[in-house]
Amino acid sequence: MPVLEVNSLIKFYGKVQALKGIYFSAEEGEIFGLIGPNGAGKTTTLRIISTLLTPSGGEVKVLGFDVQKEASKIRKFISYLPEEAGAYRNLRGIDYLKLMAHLYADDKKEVEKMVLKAIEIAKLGDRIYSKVSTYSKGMTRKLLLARALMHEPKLAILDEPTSGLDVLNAHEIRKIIKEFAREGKTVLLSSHNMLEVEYLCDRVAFIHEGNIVEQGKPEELKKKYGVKNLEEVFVEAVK
Amino acid sequence: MRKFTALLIKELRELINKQLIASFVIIILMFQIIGKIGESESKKLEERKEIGLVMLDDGKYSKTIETTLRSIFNVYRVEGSTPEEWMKNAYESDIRNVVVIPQGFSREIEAGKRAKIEVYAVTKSLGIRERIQKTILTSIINSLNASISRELLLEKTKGEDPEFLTKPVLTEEYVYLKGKILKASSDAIFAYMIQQSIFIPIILFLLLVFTSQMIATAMGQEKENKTLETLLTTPVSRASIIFAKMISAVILSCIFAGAYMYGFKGYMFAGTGGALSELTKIAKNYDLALPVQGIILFGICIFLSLLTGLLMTTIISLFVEDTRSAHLAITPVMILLLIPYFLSFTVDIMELSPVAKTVIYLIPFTHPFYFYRFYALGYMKDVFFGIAYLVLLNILLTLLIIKLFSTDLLLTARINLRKGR
Repeated sequence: MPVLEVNSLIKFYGKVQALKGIYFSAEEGEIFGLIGPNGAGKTTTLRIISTLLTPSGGEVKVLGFDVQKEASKIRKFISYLPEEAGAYRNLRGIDYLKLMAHLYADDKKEVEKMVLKAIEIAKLGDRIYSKVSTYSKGMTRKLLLARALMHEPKLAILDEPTSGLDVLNAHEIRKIIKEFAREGKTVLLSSHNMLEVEYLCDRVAFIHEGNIVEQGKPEELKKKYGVKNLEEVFVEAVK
Repeated sequence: MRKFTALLIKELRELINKQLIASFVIIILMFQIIGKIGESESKKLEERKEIGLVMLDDGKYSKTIETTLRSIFNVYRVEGSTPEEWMKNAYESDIRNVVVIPQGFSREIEAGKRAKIEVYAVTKSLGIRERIQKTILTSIINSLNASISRELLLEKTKGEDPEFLTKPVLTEEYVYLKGKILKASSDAIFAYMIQQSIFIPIILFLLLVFTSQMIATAMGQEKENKTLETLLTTPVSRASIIFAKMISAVILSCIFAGAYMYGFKGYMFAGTGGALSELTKIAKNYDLALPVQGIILFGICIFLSLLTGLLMTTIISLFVEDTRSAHLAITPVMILLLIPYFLSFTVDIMELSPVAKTVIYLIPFTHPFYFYRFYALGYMKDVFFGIAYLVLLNILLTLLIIKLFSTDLLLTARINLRKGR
């Protein structure tokens, strides 16, 4: 059974149709990339899968649970990292992690386990004991990614995980995501950085004006269109 | 419950910051300091006052005036021979009022003519002390007139009772209240009613301002710091998220309002303990104080109206984009609060047409404002209608919040009041 199934997904914002029948699926241990320009519908798709928005039509299932009917069950198995997400600025990094761990864990022992895992992922050293308000953008992003992965979700949904970060921080974030998927967990990420997606993802889907225009493994797609990279695949696919 | 507790602690930590504690401490201290100053001024006012007297006449009516003044004031004879010298001496001796009885004062009265006395106010600060002293002096002059008039009547009417001649009609005041006839002045009862009506709005206003601001800020911060989306995808119910915010705001606002009221009480009643106990006596004598059942109902009414305000603010703050917009978004709730407040001073609600009365009753904050009056006057139907209406309104608003919290509107609807400015 796929971890994520999206079929004929439609979303209207008033009269504007943001999604026009999106379809794709992601398997266990897979990193699936949703690629497209700004305003293509990536964030809307991720928000629906994360149970934040309700679909106007179609079907989305996470681990067999329907996003509309069984949202509370899905929230136990997923984690969502929004683009430009922030943490509570007056808390210390460690306190933020503890707070979020309390929302997932059933007992104190589990909280401690999650926090230790997050500290290991974030690699912030002693700065984990500093207030979030003193963190750089890269440090905040690492803290948030650690938060998103600390409870070992079956599906991690990451919206533009490296957006706005410098080369070194972006590289570290990509490394963390790769390691997480190696543990058998599924990652769904969105990006408009085609090179990043090519490096990270096992499979990708191109989204353009609310439609999936192409999907498959990066190597196969490049071969299909006879081009060198995914950027060129996208240009060819939307022609 | 563990998850809810974690959320509640998080909300409290978000709300309690250095600025909040500092402003809280400053306001409490400010009230206390102003109260202490007021108290010392009140004590000064209660002390026996000094008055200057320039006696240029030695007739019997001048003596009557001097005797009357000495019974009330510490009378000092002011030296000098011209008004400028009297004033200079009075100013230097810190005497604020001077009475001058001119030469021939008694002779004029004996001749059947109206005689003059001169009263000088020596101003140094134009403060409350001088104003009150002048008021006392005016009433003393009226008493002087009355006592001289009494003496004249005794002399000229050959044994007739001067009291009868000056005030032939006696009045006894009664008030019909809650089916009972009370021997009381309606002024005293109104004074007690007003005293009761002042505090209720202040408490409610403070509580609602604090709570609304806190909840709006909490919501605005979640959106501004982009933490709301993360929170909404955690395995915690939406109701828990919103109620943690509301309960933390209520806890803090109760603590703050209690402390503010303590400080405010110190300020308001500095040196007026006598007046307060007088009103309490009236309430006891005329059965106006709320019984235990009344106090419980009043508490319920206050709590329900506070909750209504809180739920209304929560609904508005769901759609704001940031903390600045959130602060402005509480304005509609404040306006709804101010309408019954001003109406309670200007409009007699029981005299209004049924339509106007219904409109006012639909404003949830009307009910705590009028609660005491309704209860004291025995309008129990209105009391229970108010409570039932608030219960119903709170249920509807709670359902609406839970519904809104589970819709896209939370993330897609936007009120940005900054753009509109």
